[in-house]
Amino acid sequence: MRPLAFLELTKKDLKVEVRSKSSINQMVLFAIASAFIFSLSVDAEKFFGQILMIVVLFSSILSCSATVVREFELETVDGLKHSMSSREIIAGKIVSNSLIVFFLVLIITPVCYALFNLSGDFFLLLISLLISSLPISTTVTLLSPLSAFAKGREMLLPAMLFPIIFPVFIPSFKLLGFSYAGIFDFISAMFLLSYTGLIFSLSLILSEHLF
Amino acid sequence: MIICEKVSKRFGEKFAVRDVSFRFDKSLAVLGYNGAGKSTLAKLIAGILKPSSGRIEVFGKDPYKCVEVRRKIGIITHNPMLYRELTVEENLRFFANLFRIEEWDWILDELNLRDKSNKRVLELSRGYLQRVAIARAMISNPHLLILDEAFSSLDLEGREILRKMIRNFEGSILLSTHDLEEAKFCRKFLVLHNGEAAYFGESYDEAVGILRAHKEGSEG
Repeated sequence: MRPLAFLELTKKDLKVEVRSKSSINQMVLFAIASAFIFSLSVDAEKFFGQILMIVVLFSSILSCSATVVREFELETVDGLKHSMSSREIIAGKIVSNSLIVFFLVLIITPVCYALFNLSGDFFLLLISLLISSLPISTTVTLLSPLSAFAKGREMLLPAMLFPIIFPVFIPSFKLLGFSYAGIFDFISAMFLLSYTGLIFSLSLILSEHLF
Repeated sequence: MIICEKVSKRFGEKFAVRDVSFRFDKSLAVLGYNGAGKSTLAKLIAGILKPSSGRIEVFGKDPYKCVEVRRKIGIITHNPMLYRELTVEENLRFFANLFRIEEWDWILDELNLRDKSNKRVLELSRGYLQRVAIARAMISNPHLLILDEAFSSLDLEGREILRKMIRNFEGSILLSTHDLEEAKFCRKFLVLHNGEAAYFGESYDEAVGILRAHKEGSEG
């Protein structure tokens, strides 16, 4: 695998995303609207970790799958296959989708911090949410090609995603909860990073069947 | 050498290509009317589609399994395979970077695209879009060039430029078309009818005769 090749794909994806703004706008608006509704309906200060994870999860499904599905719909993936290996394509997609979700986290964290009237350690919360978002963006990217041609793809992707992403929820809630109290839960963070590494490795192994 | 042995491609229950065999070295024209299976065959040779059965070998390897072989193939289809939000230059630079090619902008002059280089692809006419697609396919100096109805949306100037590029091309060419005049320069001919090979040989006249007979048969 050539590192420069998949970074080229990442660079291109981010450029296309910045130009089209379709996924980013959709993702940010969805995230802010859901955070606003949650802030009015539940005890947001108590459940902020769970709320943030729900917002990041569904926003990631919207944006990360769109960048992959677009390659299939416009058949640009055929052009990629002529210049890159499947491993390079999936690696590039995972990195670009993770960066897009990072961008969302950077926007949504201060918004939620203000909406939920939080008073904990902001930067630790931000770092914890960035770590928690990694397994989500990686898994959504892995599953998106499988659902690209499915008729009910909007339903199929979350249905496939939940069993795989389920082990991530508890460590994420713990990481976010502790970070609010100013403590960095190293074990949960390591679990989330290891899980991301596992899904990333699985993506590389399965790449021939995905692209 | 490009070899196809009893290659079939099925979509569900329907065969798009069935038991097609041929081999060629320099140039092959794949002739057939709409729905004959030309585009599917082009994508199979290019390694974009996986054959349902049979064997495909391009320069000694299976193009579907080997990225190194795919990197030696340039393909131009009805779909330009370009990113609409990026400019012509950004698209070509992206593909040139993937191939690690530093000197690539000669292709802009070759295809008369220099004054369009800063335009976004979505702003281009169909003819210019096809020229950029040709540039994308040629930028890597491919060893095998696959042209699937590549002339169809080009204007007169574009057609002349593509003809000149084909004349100067030193690798192998697979030309898939229903325009018989465009195919004349090829050394071998394959006629496809309903996904099956109706003729494979070196005679242009024989290939055209069989193609016309099939058309009359299906009309009459």
